[in-house]
Amino acid sequence: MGQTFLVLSAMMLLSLVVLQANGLILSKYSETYDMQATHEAVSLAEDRLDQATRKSFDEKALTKKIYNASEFTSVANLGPDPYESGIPQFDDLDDYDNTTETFSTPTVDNFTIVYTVDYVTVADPDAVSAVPTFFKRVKVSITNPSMSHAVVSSRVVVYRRYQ
Amino acid sequence: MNSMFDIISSSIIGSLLMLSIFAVGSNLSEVSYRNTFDYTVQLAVTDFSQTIEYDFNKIGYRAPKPSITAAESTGITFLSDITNTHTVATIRYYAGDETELPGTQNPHDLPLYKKVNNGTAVPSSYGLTYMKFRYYDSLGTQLTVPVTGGNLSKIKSIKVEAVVQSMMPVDSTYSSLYWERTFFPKNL
Repeated sequence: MGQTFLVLSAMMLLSLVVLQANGLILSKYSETYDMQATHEAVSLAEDRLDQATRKSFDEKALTKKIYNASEFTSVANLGPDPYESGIPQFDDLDDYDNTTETFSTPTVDNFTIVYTVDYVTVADPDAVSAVPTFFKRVKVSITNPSMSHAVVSSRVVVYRRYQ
Repeated sequence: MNSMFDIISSSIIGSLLMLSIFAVGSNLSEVSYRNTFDYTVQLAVTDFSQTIEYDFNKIGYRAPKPSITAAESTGITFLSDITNTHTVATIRYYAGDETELPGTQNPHDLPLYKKVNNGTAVPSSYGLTYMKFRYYDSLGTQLTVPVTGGNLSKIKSIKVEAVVQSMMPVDSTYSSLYWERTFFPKNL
């Protein structure tokens, strides 16, 4: 009786150890997928920022030189113009504000890319300005079901009024 | 009879225990291999992207127009003073064929060739299994490949897409990583 009890206890202990080890292995797998998706998200973020920052600084600056920041699109009107139905039609940077794009790579599905565009202050590019300035920050936030955290990348674009 | 029963049941239990221990060991080594291959693939993507970024940003530098002389979905030929020595070189990048890397266990990997002027095309084996070039004009409109004739001078940006996989599988799955980048060379 005593021996049976000892054997049962040993088996239970071993089962617990095996369960624990398998749990660790499983979590390692999800970390692997997280890492893969995160790597791809970084590449996508850089690519999207490259594309967005190539666009004109502002809708108003498409046709004339702006010397006073108050002439730029107001903060409330940042976002796509009424005639623009998607990113390929965007002609200036602030069109990207509050735009969401879904994208799948050949290896990872369902990336969600959210763009945010803000005017930032001259003194501190991290501080959002309530009024137009000559500095705009475009932020790209990328999420995926496999990722534990969003990949957020941003770039500040300067309007060169003296060129 | 009783001792016979004890021996049989203990053998069964022992075998089950050994099986679970082996399974854990096998899973652990699989994870370890997968981690190693993932890391290798990440290094290969970094290596590949550095090579491409170094050359593609210099497309057209001190070169006559059109600086891109051939633009296909699997290859590109461009002119550039890549060495900054006032000598314009013709550089061609193109992806090879799956059959050209028989030495690896991955049947889908292909070499990336770089050819400078009339030199020998030098293959690099990053573990690429997919590579595509897309070309866009100044309005961001994608141009139909192969881009030829007068359309070559319309190219203002080039998008490179690639998938890199591990040379060997782990449990029939290859570690993979996708990379893409759009280049806006200043001299185009």
